Amino acid sequence: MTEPTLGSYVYCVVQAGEEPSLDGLTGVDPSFGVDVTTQGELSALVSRVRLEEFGAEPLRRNLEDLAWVERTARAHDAVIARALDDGALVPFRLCTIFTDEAHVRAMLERERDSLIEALERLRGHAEWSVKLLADARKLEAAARERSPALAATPDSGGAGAGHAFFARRKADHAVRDEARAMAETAAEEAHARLQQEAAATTLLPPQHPELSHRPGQMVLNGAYLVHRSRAAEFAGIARELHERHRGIGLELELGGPWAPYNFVTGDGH
Amino acid sequence: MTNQLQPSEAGGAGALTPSGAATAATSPEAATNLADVLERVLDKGVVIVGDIRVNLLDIELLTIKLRLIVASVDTARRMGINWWETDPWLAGGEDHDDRKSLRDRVGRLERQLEAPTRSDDSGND
Repeated sequence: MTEPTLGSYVYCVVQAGEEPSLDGLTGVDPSFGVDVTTQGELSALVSRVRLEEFGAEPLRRNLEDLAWVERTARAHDAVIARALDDGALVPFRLCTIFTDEAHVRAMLERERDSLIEALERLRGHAEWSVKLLADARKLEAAARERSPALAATPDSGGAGAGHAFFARRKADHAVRDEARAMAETAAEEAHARLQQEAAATTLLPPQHPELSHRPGQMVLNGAYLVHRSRAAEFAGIARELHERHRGIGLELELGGPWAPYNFVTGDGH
Repeated sequence: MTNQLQPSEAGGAGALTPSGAATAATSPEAATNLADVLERVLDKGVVIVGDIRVNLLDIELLTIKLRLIVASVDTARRMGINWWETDPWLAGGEDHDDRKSLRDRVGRLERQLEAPTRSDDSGND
């Protein structure tokens, strides 16, 4: 009959008075809904969590469990997504947990200045993701078409099979280099163009195909902080870039808008 | 036509339709794959130390471990231990297979070419 020991899990901070409706939303611990804890001008979106699952020791174990991490990350993201609809928010890192509401309020008081600075900077902005994926075969075909001289294997005459083999390898490598250069150029140009519409950008490491479950090699994985007023333009440019590059084997994938996870510190550029 | 490249990833290939690829997702969480959710959430967001202390290093290590788990041991070995930091073009499995078959073929050709090469040299002189 002992009550479970509970903690307070913080998802994000919004300006007091701008809290979203939290109806029907469950937290990372699905036994509890999401509440608001307000201190001064700031409100934290908070839910209770059982410390038998979210205490320091169990947490260390659970963070090794991919299914647990996925469930928790999705629930965390879902709460933050709800807040995004209603204005400025500062997302917190996964598994930021306090012992009780009083400690959450104390944190809001302590971090007030930097949280308000971040809210003001992020107000009206959302994060978008642009990934460029290269289909190597198509890209090489496009490279051959663009520079036929590269792919040409000189007639080796009587020099023999060995010579012809190496000439062919050399031509293949030249085509591959050209294809790679085309992908890099496209990625740089796309990033530069998208950057013009963005308040800040960050380049993330490309996801490997094994992990991303996307066909092709990722040649651009950019995160863009875009103001609401520029969002339609930004998406339009992404579509335009997609149309321009798909013919040579480059697929552009646009994701968002979502919370500015990559831009909380303000050093994005 | 591109599916030939991705024999083991029919699900992934199907999910990425060219027409939908550049369309803004209005409810991204519905169709988001695990890699994207983790990329977005895992070591992102403002860092404020709570009462329950989780060493942030644990989470950073975890992201690396997750990548290894998802990629499978074989893949990780093939690509070298820090494959996620390497040039994706160089890290592709296809390239490695190519290099191995190239080495094998060079070996065979060197053996085969020994005699003709000698006769060529004497003929040119």
